Amino acid sequence: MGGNPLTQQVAVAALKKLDAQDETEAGDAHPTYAIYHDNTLIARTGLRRSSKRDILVPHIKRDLRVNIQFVLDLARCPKDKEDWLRALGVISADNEEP
Amino acid sequence: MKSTDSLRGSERPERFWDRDQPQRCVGIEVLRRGSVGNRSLSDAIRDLYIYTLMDRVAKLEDQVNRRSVIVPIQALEPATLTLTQPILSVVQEEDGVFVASFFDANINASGESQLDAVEMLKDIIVSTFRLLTKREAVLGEGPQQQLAVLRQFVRA
Repeated sequence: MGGNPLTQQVAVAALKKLDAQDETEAGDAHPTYAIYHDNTLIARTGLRRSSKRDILVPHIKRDLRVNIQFVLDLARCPKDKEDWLRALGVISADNEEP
Repeated sequence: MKSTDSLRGSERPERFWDRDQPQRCVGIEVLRRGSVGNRSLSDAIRDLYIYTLMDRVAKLEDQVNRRSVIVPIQALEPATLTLTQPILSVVQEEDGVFVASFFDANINASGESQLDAVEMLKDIIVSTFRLLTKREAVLGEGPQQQLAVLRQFVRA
């Protein structure tokens, strides 16, 4: 696996932390998730359809526009949705809309 | 090309051309003074050319080692979506898996092989176009840009 820890399990945990909504439609080959803030769509991503939790999905960091460590921190608790929204500039440091 | 080792002396720089330490380069001195020791201006130009080529080869080797390839996407499924122009996806290896990206729209996919990654990317492009079109009224800045780019390539 090398040094890439972005598994499907990590991705799902990070998406759960971001309150991602499953927007998969019937017939879609892959599950699609969308992340909203104040009823605004901020980002979307797709995962691989697999029952294996350890398959790698390194593309998720690009979809979320953060680095590997940020995704890990989302999945493993230090960071939350507000941190992510701040990192993207959606909200400012004092939680106010920019 | 004469060895740069032959240039070494009490008052001579170690390298004829050195990107990192240009102030120590014999090449710079040659350009300034016309010659240094047995190094002429033609030597300097020739060596600059060779070092430039070496630099370009090193960059190409780096690209090959990262196994980055460009795969044109000519069609999407289902056929209800039409590509108005090919999408150039970039496929890169990351620790044993492949990531296919449509960089302009920031749409990405992973796969065990280059083919898997590109196939997933095609599916994700379709699902993303549908989602962004359906949610167009509530798109944030990033998704707005994604949809604008997608509309340059995809027609429903």
